[in-house]
Amino acid sequence: MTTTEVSTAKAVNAFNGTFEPFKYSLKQWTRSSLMYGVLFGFTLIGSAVSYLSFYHTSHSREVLSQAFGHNVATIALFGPTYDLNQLAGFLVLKSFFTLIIVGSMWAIFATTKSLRGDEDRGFFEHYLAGTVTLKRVYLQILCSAIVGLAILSITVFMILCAGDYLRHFGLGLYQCLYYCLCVVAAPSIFVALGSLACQIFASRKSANVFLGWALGLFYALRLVGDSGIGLHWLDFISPIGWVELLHPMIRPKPMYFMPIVIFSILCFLISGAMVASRDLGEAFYDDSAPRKISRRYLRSDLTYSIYRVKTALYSWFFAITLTGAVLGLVASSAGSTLNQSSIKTVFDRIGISGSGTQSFLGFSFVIVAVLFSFMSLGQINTLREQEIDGHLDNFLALPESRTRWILNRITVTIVSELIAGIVCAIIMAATGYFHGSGISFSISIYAILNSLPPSIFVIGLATLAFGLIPSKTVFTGYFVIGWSMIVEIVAGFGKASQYLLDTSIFHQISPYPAAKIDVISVVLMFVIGILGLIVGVYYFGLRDISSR
Amino acid sequence: MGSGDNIAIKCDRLTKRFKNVTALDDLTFEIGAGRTIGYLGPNGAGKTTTLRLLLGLIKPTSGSAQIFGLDVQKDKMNIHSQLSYVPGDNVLWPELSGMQTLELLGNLHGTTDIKFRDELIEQFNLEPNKKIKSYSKGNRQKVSLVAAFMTRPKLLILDEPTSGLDPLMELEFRNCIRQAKENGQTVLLSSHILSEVEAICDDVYMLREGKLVKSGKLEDLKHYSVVNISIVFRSEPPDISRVKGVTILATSADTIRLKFNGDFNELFRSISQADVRSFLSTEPSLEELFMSLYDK
Repeated sequence: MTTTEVSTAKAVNAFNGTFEPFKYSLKQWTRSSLMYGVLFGFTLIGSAVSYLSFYHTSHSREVLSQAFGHNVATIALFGPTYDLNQLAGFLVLKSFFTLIIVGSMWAIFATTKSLRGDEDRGFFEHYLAGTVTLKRVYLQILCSAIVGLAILSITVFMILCAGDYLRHFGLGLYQCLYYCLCVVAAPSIFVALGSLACQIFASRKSANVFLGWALGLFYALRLVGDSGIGLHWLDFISPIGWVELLHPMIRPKPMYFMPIVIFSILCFLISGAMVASRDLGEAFYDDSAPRKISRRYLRSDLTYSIYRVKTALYSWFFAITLTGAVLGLVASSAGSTLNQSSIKTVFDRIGISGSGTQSFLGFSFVIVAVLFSFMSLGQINTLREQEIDGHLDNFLALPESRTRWILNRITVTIVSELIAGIVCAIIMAATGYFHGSGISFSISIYAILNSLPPSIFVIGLATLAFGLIPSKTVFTGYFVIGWSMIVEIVAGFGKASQYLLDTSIFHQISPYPAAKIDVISVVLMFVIGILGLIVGVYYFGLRDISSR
Repeated sequence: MGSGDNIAIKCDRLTKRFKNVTALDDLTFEIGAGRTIGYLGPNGAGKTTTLRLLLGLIKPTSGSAQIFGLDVQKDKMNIHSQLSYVPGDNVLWPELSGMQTLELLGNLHGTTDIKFRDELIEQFNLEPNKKIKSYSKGNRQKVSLVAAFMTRPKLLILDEPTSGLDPLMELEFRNCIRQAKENGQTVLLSSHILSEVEAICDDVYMLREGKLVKSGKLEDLKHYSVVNISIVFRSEPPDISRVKGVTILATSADTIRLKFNGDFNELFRSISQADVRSFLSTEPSLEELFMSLYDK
């Protein structure tokens, strides 16, 4: 190799090394933003199609508008609603806040993974051993995040435009573009705030907790602001309030992009200054001092397993009880509109009948059952993670039996679900009582108990996979839940064969209170779940432990 | 306990296959109670597989193993209450402090000598009130070592226990092992640090590609292995390169330096006609022994 060739090769290496953080991070952001873009896009298409199908008469649209347009609970939860007799207004009500929340959570997890998680895992050390500084790594990752946000927005825009063109939604290019920009506004805020949190906190977990609280606070501020108690100004101090004030599709107010852009730039500037002044692995807030942990958590494997999963369980607990509160608040209004719309025919297709409120609750408890199933799966997935990362070795090299180890954790999950269910029932009955929806406590409790068997089934099946084919534990669980959800959706859009419907675990439970509880199905699912659990635990006791 | 009284670990034709790879092949050995064993082998030789089989974390394809006369697959709980294990990949809980980790592991084991634990913390110069996450690799290793010794188990299974420790702490570790030996505890030490094994182990077991290639007392093994020889002649050195087992390292006008692994009588016969001024033979170090076994 000549001298020129050597220096060229060096230059190429230096160039490659310089942009490695961007390239690596871009791959992750592209993948997830495309996935979420497709999800968001099809959610919007689905909402638009369902609106045009179910509310195809001006009368049904008026009923919808009257029921939700002035409903304080709906406005507080999902923001002010305008022109519900038009598709654009319905899309805002139906999807906008869901996309804001899901998009914000995606941005939180993706940002903390790139900016703190990869630093925790030691990736940054490799970068810094090359030709880049910590500040450059940070800038490159932020650039990839911005590209990710652009991909998300473009993907949603393209899908929405395609739907608009093919199904004649009548939205138009400007409305589609503006809606997509509004959808990406909340994730942008949390990418910016996330970049700051990753400089303040020394662990991804702490940054996630902080951002989770920030999201909750921003949402709560605007919720109070929209509650009609004279505190509307709270909308103006909450970043989620700014997003709401953008008014996507109906009466747009693009001037509210201004505080969002200023807030994001400020966060980027402050975090940029912080990253320039700190060392690798350090943070503004030093959390190296251990937290006080009650000694009772360190007494046994069971108590420690409760300690480890309690944060995750609290989140699920919160999600399930919040769902209960929302159901209690909107059941009455939703029930009255259902009677007037053709969505009743869809409910009939998937076996939900009865009065409007009962039908709505019957359908909604399927969602609660989905939440319970995800909660169960999350806990079984944690078992697999503990095996892979080697924590399980620590326990099993001690006088600790495998059976006790796994059963302790499954028991904690099932008991947590029961408690969450009971609290959910109480809250739903209480909110329902104040809104006159007629949901009694006994109805709530039966409905909750009726929605638990699918989660027991998922626990059983995932445990079976964990015992027999541990590498497929996560796949098995997600496949069962995902497939069942698809079947429910497909069944909603058209006539589906009974054989297909029977493959869904959510179709096996009756839509109580719209129909009587199907005791045989409940018992059967419960028994199959427990059998799967027993066989899974048995084989887990026999198989090799495979840490990384 | 019967036959287990004097035998701490017994492997009988222990074999482990992972799909098409044989990680351990027909391993048979017995380790007497109270012995300190160095378990050696290059990467992938099957050391960690053996330890995981002994702990019952994986099950053998064939063969069996016993610890203190109890089957490692059937009597795990009973066996584990009598042993401590320091894994090669030291994975602890990042959110706990060193002391909280020790408390948790002690509670799970069931027996902790609190006074001894505190002595060990001091001996290893461990700051127990810091988060595990903020510890260096060496400090995390110290937590695992304290956790292993503080229960005063009958058997210590240690997989690369001094990985990350500084030389001073390595000496402390050796002291702990010596103390354990004095207390009659059995130690199975898998290590790459041959000087450490040489300093503290009674016996050495050497693995290669899943097979036990040498075992026994270190001094006995050394007799069977390559020795370093330096011969100084008063006249021109004879040609001894054809003697079986001779590897010439260097030759000068009057000196030959060589490695020898053969019949000494034959070597002596080959130099008997020459005028030998001095003949110096040195015992191989464990490192040389290791290299002679594994050098392909």
